[in-house]
Amino acid sequence: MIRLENVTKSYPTRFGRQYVIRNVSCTLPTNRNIAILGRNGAGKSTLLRLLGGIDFPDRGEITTDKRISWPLGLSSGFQGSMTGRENCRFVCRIHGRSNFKEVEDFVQDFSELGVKFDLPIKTLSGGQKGRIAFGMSMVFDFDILLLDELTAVGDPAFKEKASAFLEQRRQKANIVMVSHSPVQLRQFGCNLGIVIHEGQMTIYDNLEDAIYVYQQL
Amino acid sequence: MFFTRDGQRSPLEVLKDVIFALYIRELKTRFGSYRLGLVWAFLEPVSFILLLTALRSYRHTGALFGGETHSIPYPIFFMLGYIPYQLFSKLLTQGAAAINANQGLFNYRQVRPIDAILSRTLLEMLLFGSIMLIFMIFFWWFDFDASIADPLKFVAALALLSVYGGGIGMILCVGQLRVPDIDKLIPLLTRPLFFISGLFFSLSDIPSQYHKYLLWNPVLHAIELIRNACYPSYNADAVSFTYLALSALVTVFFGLAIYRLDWKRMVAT
Repeated sequence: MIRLENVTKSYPTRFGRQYVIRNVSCTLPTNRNIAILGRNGAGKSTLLRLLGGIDFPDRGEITTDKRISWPLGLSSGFQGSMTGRENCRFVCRIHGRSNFKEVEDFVQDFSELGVKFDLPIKTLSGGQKGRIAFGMSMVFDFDILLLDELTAVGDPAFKEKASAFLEQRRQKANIVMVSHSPVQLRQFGCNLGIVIHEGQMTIYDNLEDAIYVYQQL
Repeated sequence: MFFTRDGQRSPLEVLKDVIFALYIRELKTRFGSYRLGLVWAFLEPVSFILLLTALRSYRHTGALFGGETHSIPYPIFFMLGYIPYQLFSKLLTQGAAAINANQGLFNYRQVRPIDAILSRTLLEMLLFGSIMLIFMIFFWWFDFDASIADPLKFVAALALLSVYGGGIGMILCVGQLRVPDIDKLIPLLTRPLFFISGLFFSLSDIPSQYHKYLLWNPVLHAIELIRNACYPSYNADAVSFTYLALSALVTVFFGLAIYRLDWKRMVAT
């Protein structure tokens, strides 16, 4: 369960406050795969970050007893001046893990970077960073995986491997996913839809209903 | 696949893990990328100490590196002034930049802005504390009258100075959200302190009617207390632990207060 109580999130702009969600109270089931839909700038990613506990509401509270991942598509959680290996260790440390070696070996192997794994992250390409980020998120046992516009991580061969791993992961974990593509949402087995529009958040018990509403926006 | 679920860590354990992780990360980026690494941390004080000691000793004893002032050998006297000052000014710049330098890492829910400030403060304190110790050993080896008579007092003064500097660092760091160029104040603050914090004089050298103009400065208190902790015969009657501790308390209070007000804005993207 992820419980939202009177949650309001807004951004101050020159033209007044822009609300992502306003006074939302609801309970999201964590045994379902949730799709978040909305137009560009509606606040889908912000909602995902709120659920993941890396952004915070202006008012209200979001509570959960589940272990939620960081947004998987993102590789912005890296420190550019540290190597892939060091970044990997950092993530292990903050999660209270001490078996660095196993994790490093796995991520190095998974990302197929070889010796480049020991170069500063900032010298790698976007795709290579994405591989490391993806590999790292496959290592930890999360109850809920957050997927933010999971497109184009790497070349076709890597993509295939990534999907296979993700599929395996999804046996034990549920996902919350942001995507514009109904095909992708269906493919990932989403069966609950949230549509965000102009500060309102509507939950649909059926993904197809949500997609229908989204396409009418 | 590698991990079975462990029991939930307590918030305190998470804090400890995160601060340690950030601490290692700071160490790596601080010294990993320079070829000489830690050596730079010593070269800067060495040039300051060498120059001032040579001048003062030569004027007073006719020999380089001889003589002492207020019962402290010249080079140690300058070292005990310069390094605490350096610690203080580093805490300001490092604290103010703590958030920007770690922005990406707030994408992990465990990492909060205050962890970055805390780990940097801890790093600077341990770093400059060890540099002082290494200098002391070095001087002892060269047959100077090196001493840390009251280690507890030494650590206490150093820690209070760090808390004071860390508090100001936190204020500057959080203040940047509302006043974006607040970090331009740092040199304005630290440059004058270089001349009035007792780096190259002792408070006893100053006529006592002027003490009141200097004693508002907590850094001076810290430096005099550190010298007194090392050499009990060094006169530190005019300075007080209480004042230093209160300054630290007040700055940390304000730092934490504005942090509590604004911290969510720091992680918002």
